[in-house]
Amino acid sequence: MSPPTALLVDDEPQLTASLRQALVARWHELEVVGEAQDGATALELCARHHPDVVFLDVQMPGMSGLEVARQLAGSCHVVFVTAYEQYALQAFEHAAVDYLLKPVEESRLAATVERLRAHLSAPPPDLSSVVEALARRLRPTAAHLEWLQVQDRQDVVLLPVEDVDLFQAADKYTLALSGANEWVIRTPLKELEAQLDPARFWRVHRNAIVRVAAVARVRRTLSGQLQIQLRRGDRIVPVSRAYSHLFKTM
Amino acid sequence: MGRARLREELLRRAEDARHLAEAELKLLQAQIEPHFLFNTLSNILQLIHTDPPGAHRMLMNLTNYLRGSLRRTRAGATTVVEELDLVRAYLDIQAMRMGGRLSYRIACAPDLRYTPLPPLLVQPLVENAIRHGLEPLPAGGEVAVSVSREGDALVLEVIDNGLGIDPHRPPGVGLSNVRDRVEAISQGRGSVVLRANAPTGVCVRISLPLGSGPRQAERPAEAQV
Repeated sequence: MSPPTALLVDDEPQLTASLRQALVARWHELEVVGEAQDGATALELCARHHPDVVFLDVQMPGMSGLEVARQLAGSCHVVFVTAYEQYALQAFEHAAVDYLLKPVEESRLAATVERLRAHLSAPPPDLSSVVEALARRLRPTAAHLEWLQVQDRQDVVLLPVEDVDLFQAADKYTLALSGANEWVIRTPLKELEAQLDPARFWRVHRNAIVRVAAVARVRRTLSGQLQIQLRRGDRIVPVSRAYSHLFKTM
Repeated sequence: MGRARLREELLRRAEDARHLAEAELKLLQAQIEPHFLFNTLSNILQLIHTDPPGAHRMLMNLTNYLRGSLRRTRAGATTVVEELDLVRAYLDIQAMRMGGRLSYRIACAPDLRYTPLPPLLVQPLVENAIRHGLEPLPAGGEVAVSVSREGDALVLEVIDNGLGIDPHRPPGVGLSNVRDRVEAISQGRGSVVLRANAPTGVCVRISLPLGSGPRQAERPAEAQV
């Protein structure tokens, strides 16, 4: 029988070195076939060497350990290694997923090695549901636009949308009002509207989108039109009839 | 008319004070990132065997980092040099952890070293530069921190040549916190501006009116930078 093989994955070189030493010391026949410092390399090495077990750091820049595990899709045994993962640990315990805490304790590693020795010939357990759930939790799909790039003379200023009180259409451009500052954005209002979080930004007029939290009060004029007063500055924003239902409860 | 304006002004001040208190509370909670702490300890445990002087240096840096962080949550105001010492300890640890992928520079105009500075304004920006800008890059990069004077303003800059800002990632607690506190401390006269760095990365620039904060700290007799 060929010796068992392992791949070690951690973005910090000192830590793969340390794990290699500790593993080899208590599992003499284990052959470490490679070390990777990022997820893409880890997948590549897995495809080349088909290790029996992968020790996988959970929190790596770029592709996380969970993402790597997802893509490995049960092709080998996985032991997660983590410094601190509030949510992951509970889930790992619950789903009986093998994991090590950094710094790795001798006794804990010994127990892991024992378990792996006993189960290595069996097919790897199915981790897909727990990995899927955690991957979603650790990296929520951020669908909305959060930063604007605005030209300021020769510079590009990065402006959080959270800072913008009002977007106002102006020809092909859009004006973004942020407190006392006004910026020009090269994206038409309609395009912006599609990218902004509809829970935080409301279209109130054909040519205006307001940040809901930036609204100080809404008033009704004598002619029955609704007008928004912003918290910062003294800009008044008319609400067109088509959107007045948004403020019914305010 | 005058009374209404006075009331508005008082309300505004009360609001400012509330924001500052909230921001400081959040700062306390976000103090030391556990992932950073435990990974650093793991590194030290390995270096004890392979590179004892390196282990010693990393442990000293971690000690200074922890001492600096804890002291600042209690002290209201610190100085520029204290903030930069904390930043240096942090960056030195990160440079060792990242195995040569990170380089850094810290520059400060000599006459600004003992200028009072609210704690942890620069540190969270440096952490962001590492975490979001440079750590994800296999080739790594550089962080440059500088403190200078421009007219009547104290200017703090953190520049990295990393990945840049993901337009779909909401600003994190660290940055929001810095912005809230700069706004509250300077009563709207300061600013936090982010720019795209050329050719890559992010430049964050904090501007604070000089002399608006607490009184100038006494210069310690035997202080060192």
